[in-house]
Amino acid sequence: MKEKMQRLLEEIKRDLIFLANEVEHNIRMSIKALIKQDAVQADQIIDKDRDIDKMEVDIENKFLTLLALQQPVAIDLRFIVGGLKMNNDLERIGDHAVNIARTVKDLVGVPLIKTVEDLPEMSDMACSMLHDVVNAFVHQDPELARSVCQRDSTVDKFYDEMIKKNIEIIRKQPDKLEQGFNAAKVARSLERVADLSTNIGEDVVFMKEAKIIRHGLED
Amino acid sequence: MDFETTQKSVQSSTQVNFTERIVIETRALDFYYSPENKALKNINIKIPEKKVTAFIGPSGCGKSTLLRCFNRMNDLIPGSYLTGEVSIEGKNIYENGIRLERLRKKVGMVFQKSNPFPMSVWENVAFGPKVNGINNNEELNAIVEDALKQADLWKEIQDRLDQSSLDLSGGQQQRICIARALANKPDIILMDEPASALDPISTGKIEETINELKSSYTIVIVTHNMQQAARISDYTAFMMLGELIEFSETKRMFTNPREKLTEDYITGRFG
Repeated sequence: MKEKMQRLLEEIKRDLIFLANEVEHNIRMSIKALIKQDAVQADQIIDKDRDIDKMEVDIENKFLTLLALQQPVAIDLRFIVGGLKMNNDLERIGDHAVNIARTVKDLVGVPLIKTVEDLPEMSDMACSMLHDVVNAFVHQDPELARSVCQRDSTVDKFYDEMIKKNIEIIRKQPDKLEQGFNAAKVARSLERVADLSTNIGEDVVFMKEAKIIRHGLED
Repeated sequence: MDFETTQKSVQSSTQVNFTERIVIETRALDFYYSPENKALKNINIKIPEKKVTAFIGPSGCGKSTLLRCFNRMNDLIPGSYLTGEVSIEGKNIYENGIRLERLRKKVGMVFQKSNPFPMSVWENVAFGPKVNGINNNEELNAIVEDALKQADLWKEIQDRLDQSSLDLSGGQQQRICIARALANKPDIILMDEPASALDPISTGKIEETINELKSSYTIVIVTHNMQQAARISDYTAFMMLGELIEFSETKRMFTNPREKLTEDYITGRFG
């Protein structure tokens, strides 16, 4: 009976890793599409999100079935509670890829504001957080998860700087308002990707150590 | 062996800082079924008042043996003996001069298999009080009614008090046994897998009864059903190979046990 639960947990773990890879790929593609102003790629990202949504629902159903039929406790129960939250966070990261893709479609043929040049770097920072936190999940490594959480403030700082630069440009060139607003929307999505990756890091610590570190509770 | 190494590190995992009064306490308790067969090894545990404490662990871990030390039921096993101390309300119950009938009136017991006497419902429940010298029928009627109400059986059975207890369902028979224990007005009730032979509905009723009783009684229950321990108990003790491995608040035990052995057992990774 318990072996069956372990098999099911492993299966869900694989599903979550697959979902995380798909989501990370979509975020990276959305920034590439932005730089190339590629509406076709933007549409592909939006289509792909339907698969991501379906995966999220399937994973949630598997968790619910496990809870109902196997009555997990201790580390297994924490894995399920943390995994459910992670599943939800990954789906929301997927939604941010869609938000960026929609902005790409709005910007096709429009000259880009200079601050857009900062976005690939910001995307790399956010995506590497996501990538590393998924590794922390795969290896159930709370120290790696904590180190990812600490990187969130760097992304926040980068975001604040970029917004300041954006405002400066718009002040000097009010006709850039729309482009500046769209660039800020993309930056905001990337900043949220970093936040959600941080949430996943907190979930990994909870799964492994039963400690709640969000809201500064570990300090 | 790993298990022995782990043992040295688990002392702190069996200590609970209670806010409640302690009613049962063992100190350095070793129990032997024979000189070669040591069933309990250095058990130090404190059990708080008016709470449900569950003992869990694999078969043969000593949980029923420990339970039966609390009202000296093991005395009936030829060749068995113990060292160390078992105190109820601060008094060592293995001292000379302890009157067993008084001890067992104070510490009632319900067994795995319901064992009503081949008598009517009324006679079963009134049996203990009568043995203890209560002969007034009005008083006995009140005791029977009160005990059956506490065992959540009164509504079902108030018109059938003359019926033989053996004609009742398994679940009702077990609650008769609980009522019979309650009629002696004990302070402590020991339950050795009281619902293991019952269907889910009867089990649910027994669990509800236990939940209601804990406001008035200290309850110690042995169960193989870990989910049952999680549902009904306030504190849980995990035992293995005659040793107390971990004793914690139940909510702690089932979400974040201190000991790897406990976690491996409750998540089914061994046992």
